Amino acid sequence: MAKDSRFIRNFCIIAHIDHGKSTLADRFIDKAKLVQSRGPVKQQMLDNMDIERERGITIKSQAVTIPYVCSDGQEYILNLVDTPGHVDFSYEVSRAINSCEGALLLIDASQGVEAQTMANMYMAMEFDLEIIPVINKIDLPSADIDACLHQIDNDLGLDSSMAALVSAKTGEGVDALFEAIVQHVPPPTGDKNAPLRALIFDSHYDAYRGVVVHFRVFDGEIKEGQEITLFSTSVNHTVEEVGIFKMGLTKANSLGVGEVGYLIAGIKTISDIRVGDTITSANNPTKTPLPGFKEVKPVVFSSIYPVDSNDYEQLQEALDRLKLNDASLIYEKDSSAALGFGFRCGFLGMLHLEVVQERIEREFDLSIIFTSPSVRYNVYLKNGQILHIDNPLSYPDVMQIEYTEEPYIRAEIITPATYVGNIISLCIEKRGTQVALNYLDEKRVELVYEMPLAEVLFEFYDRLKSVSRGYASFDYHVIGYKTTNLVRLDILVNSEPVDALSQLVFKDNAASRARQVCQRLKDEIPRQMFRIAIQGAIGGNIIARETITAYRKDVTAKCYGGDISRKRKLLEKQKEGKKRMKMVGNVEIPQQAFLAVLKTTDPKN
Amino acid sequence: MIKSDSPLIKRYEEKLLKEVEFVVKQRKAPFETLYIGGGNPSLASIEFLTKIITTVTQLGDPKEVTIEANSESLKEEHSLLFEKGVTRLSVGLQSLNREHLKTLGRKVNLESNYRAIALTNKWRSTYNLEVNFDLITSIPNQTIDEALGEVNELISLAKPHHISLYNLTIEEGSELAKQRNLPFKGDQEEATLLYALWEKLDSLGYHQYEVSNFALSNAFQSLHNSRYWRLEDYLGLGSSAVSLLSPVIITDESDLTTFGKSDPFSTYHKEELTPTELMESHLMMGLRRDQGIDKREWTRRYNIDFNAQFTTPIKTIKNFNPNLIKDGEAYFSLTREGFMVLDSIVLLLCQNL
Ligand SMILES: Nc1nc2c(ncn2[C@@H]2O[C@H](COP(=O)(O)OP(=O)(O)OP(=O)(O)O)[C@@H](O)[C@H]2O)c(=O)[nH]1
Ligand SMILES: [Mg+2]
Repeated sequence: MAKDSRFIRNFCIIAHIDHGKSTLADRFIDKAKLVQSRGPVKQQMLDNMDIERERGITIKSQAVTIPYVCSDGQEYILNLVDTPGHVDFSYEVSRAINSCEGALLLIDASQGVEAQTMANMYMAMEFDLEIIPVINKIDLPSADIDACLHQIDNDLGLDSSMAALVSAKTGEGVDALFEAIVQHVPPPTGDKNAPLRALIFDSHYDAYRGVVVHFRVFDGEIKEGQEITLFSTSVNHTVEEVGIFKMGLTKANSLGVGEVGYLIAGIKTISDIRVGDTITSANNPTKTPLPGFKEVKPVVFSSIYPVDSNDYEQLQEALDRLKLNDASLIYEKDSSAALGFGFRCGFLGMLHLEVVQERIEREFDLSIIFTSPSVRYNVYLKNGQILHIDNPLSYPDVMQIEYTEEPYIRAEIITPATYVGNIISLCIEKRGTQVALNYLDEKRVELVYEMPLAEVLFEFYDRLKSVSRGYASFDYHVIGYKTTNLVRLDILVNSEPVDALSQLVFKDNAASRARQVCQRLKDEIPRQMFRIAIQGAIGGNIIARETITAYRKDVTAKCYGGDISRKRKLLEKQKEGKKRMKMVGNVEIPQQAFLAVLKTTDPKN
Repeated sequence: MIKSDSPLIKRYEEKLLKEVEFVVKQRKAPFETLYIGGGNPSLASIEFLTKIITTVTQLGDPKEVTIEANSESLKEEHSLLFEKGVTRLSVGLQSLNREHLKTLGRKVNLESNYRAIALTNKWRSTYNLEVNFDLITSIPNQTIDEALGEVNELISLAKPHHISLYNLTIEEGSELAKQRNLPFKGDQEEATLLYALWEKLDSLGYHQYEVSNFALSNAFQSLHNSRYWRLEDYLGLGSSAVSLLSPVIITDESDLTTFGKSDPFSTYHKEELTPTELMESHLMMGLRRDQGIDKREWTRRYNIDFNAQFTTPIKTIKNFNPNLIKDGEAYFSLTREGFMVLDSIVLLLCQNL
């Protein structure tokens, strides 16, 4: 029997990065005793991917169902979604918001309102969510509750008398917050007698059970044995199992209006499943699907190649499976003279790119190479044609080009007033134009700049953090295209161009970028039997050069000792090692070199 | 330490002898060479070694019978073997410097090295015996002058027919590899040191006929090892011994303690090399010799023209550093500069197989 929707509350926790969303989720989970604590208690329990735990940030939204008995004795079902705070993962936040009626907007009491606090709040408002402001980390000595309350009224335009004061660390104020959620977050509305409409908001692949679909029911009911249709593809499946998320999958008989859960239906064709699609009943289908999600727009593009070309098929499979669990990943086939067959991929930012790289390597045990990331340019040809180019390999001959345009963003930066000078210099260096400078109060300034996206993607975030000692925060939106002066920088290794290392750059940045790439390659390519010349070139013009001298003697293997069978083993081992290298002409380039070029921040910076 | 009269050794000797007898029974022609070595054959009793030699020589006298020994296990009684047909003695000295011997962690000590040199000198006045000494170089802390001094000293003390000069190999997981603070030499230092030693040996009349092997005249080259470098068949018996009966490699997988406990030949493992693997092995072994690879022989064996097969890598080498190779009409070989990067060249060529 499905739950009565009057006693269901669906809400997400949204905030700026590190304001304590996942830690607050821990307190909810503790309360419901979903985890039997044995030994030391894990923190940020919902951050279950290795990469999330290592980096201490949430990358994926995570849903969990929490039973809660209210002070009046009524039992409620709380469906909570913990969301990521980093700007690259705002697509995760938007999908969570789309599946809930309420949002807890967390504010770190020692930091106050920051850029993503605002950005995420606007997103929640767009979907008419009930927003409960929550001031977190009140246990910190540096907590400034009054300032936060003031900011809630002034910066956010919310009612500070609604604000909950909590410490996700100590648990203080969490009980009252539970009550506030039950009181203020509206119950799901929906018609339990209407045809089934459930929204797919995520999915993942299970090695034993195939595709696991994550959804929320809006109308009707879904149960085991039921025949369902996926609206966009009209494919039918029989539900083998439905259930809810309770720190793992917990089987249930059926799920009704407002409930959040998973289903398994022996789905083998991964492409059948699309995030944002509507699940309906095959026998009694709905005529109007749910609106779904806004289409995701990647901002940075790069190609992925397997280090060992034989792994191409595995890479394809890895991307298909990863896509199930990362709806923002976009890819298509690509090929390179230096690297063979691979995939051109779109990402939501550089952190997203890094996460995809790590997940492919860890979850699928593949060694891969990424090409230099690029934004998408508009190239206007003399013959009137317009090309949209994000891949340096498809950059046309300069003689054909009339002019080029690059994407621009509007950056909103919030900073303590002390750092305004530093930040303005940084923005100027990054070709920014100031649009506004507003004092939010005596101490805090909001700066608005228009800047080329390419400048913001690569190293801007780290630089901003360093010039403001970590206090400035920023958010950005793509606003359109502006004319630019673009060149293609080619990298040659022993006179052979390495197409995978080519990049499109703003002309005035080309020389320094070329020097940087050559230097990094020099640091990463081990000395070899022959001297190696590394050059950066625009057209035929060499603008940077480095040389790697040859080694005079093999020292790693040292003339294989021993009998023929030992010698053979060593040879095999060396050949194996070569598989992790890419040959360009006679030069072996290790995977590490490609990755080092990719790194956007100079470690010396 | 295992004593040479332990039951373990007895059983080992019994099984090995059975195997040798079996092999000899299957054959009519004499063996070209016999090499008693690998591991520590000086553990074996003189009596046993004599038995092996007499069994093998039933087929007729090999051209060369070598026995290998560490300096400290060399005894007066070994002279008996020279009467039974041993023509060549190979003694492992490693170094003539107390400090460097210590670094190597060998059981060998300086005194036993000098005693062994004196013994061989004495034997050479009585028997028609060829002598080889093994030295190791590129030892951490070893200076060029010290290395040259050791070679000089060895030659002035013994003037051996043959010298094997090995560059130190640091085996993964070995005691030496674990001593991370030791100043292991880099490629520049090793190259400088090796060039100096090779030139020194040159000037003293020793010809480098293989990367690590030097002979006072061509007649004193090791016949046995030359077969091995030319990838010609050979038979190896005993624990961890390897045989090549092209295209099959046979390895005995037992160790000293398990060998004697099993039936004759029961511990041997066969592995058939693919034609590519055979060619790889041929490059790997053949390019160690100053003569290099006999192109006609290559065509005869593999039915493919050497020049045609390696056009690309050879062109690369010629483009980038022609001083590494000698690409003659009949032979393809490495120069000294090429010997320094032997592994890299072999790998480069292997990539075209
Ligand atoms: N003192 C104190 N520290 C807290 C509190 N809540 C969270 N933290 C700490 O703040 C840091 C960030 O907490 P998370 O829960 O990972 O923050 P988050 O908002 O989930 O971060 P992202 O998912 O990366 O956006 C961690 O070191 C927490 O231990 C709190 O109430 N008091
Ligand atoms: Mg988190």
